[in-house]
Amino acid sequence: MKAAHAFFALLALPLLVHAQSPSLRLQAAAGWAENLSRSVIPADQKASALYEVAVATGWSRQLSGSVQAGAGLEAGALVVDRHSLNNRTTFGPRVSAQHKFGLGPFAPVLQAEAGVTQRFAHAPGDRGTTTEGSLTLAKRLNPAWRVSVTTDWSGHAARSPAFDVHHRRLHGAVTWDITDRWQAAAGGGRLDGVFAANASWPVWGAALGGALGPAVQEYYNSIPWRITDLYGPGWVTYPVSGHADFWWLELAPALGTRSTLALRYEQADAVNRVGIKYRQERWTVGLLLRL
Amino acid sequence: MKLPVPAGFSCLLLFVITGALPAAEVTFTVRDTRGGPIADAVVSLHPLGPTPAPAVPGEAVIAQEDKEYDPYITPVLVGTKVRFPNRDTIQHHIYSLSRPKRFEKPLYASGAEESVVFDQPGVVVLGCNIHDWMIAYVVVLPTPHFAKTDSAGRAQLTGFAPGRYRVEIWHPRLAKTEVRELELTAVANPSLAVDLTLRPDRRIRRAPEPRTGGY
Repeated sequence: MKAAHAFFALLALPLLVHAQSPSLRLQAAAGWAENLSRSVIPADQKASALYEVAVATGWSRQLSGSVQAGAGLEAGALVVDRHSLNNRTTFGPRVSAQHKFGLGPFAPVLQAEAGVTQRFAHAPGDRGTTTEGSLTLAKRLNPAWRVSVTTDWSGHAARSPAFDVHHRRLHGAVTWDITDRWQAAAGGGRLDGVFAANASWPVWGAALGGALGPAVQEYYNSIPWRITDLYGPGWVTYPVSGHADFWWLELAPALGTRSTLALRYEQADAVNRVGIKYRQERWTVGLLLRL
Repeated sequence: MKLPVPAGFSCLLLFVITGALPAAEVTFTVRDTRGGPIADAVVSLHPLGPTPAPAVPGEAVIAQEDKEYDPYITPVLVGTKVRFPNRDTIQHHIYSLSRPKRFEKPLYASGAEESVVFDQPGVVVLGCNIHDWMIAYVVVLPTPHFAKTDSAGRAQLTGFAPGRYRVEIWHPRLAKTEVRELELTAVANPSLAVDLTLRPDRRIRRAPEPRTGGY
């Protein structure tokens, strides 16, 4: 994974040589998550307050009339109030390239991004390296409306196989600038891949013993689950393949030309490959600053 | 004194007599329908009588500073050279898709300065292809008698010959240019208050946008 970091650092080097003043983006958010544990049994569905801070700095350079490249560094921290083993900090470089098909704010823009993030999680097994890539096509329809479609991929190589996850997503978003100050956005999409879920030991033991059916029993006995204590003593984390349909609504009033307050609700309905379903919800209020 | 006005507008003209022949002077106060001042409106006088001797165009400057164009509105005489210094520490990409002057200045580095001669009358909208919220207007006029309203909505025009003029008032939020005809006498220093209806200000938003979360 150190090789991956070196790769992206080298990729960014030509841009840094021509570095202009970097941009700086700060984000602080507080939220409430329902079923943070991604559990199917209601008694196992743990909720918690979440607190996040992130800082990103970046440099960009126009390579031609229509192509712009960028590189930067991002760092973040997540605090999960009731389940502190989920706390983590992250740090890593990112690179991006953008092609604008024409002139002006209504020209379509294709943007590619890639990044490698080192995760320092409180839970030892979750520590590792996350590699991400995305491709976004965006088009402003008029000064008030903008649409975008994104496909992205993410993989986390963790110390413990229980946290080894990867997924790809396809999602779209619509942004409406209601006035100069008020912006509303909505979006949704689907995730496919392997993601981590959790269960208390009694539930997990029952699943392994066949109480949830032979298909669940066979599948759960085949995956690399681990006791991680993430949500209490004896809690198990396990990677499952499946999909999740997700959508979100957001209201983001501008506080000035450099700051925005973001109020967001998001929901995801996940189904794993043996038909186990659960829902997650999250409310977040965040403050964004761009310097 | 009341002048006839187009439907939907009201116009209050106050004439105050000062000064003497041959040069005249006039002050316009441009207001919205609630009586608030309208800044950055361009008021120009176009002679309807004998054409005066052509004026010599000068220079103007529109800077790129703090990721904005400054000034927002620049009225110029046809033939004026406008300089565009980049006073930011980042790149910009000036362009215009407007018919009176189409041009593009890509790879516009910090500290660079290029210029464009605006040789056709009309309104030219400037953008930055990197920072979509950056916008400025160059109002290219065939007359040297023009002024831009200040924060109090006032524009003072001086040095024109007495006679009959077409008065044009332009603002980016007007549905169309406001046009009047006025007889401006040498001895008069008319002060005109003009009430206009503006459309909502729909510029591209600059404030940062949240990112889509993960799973």
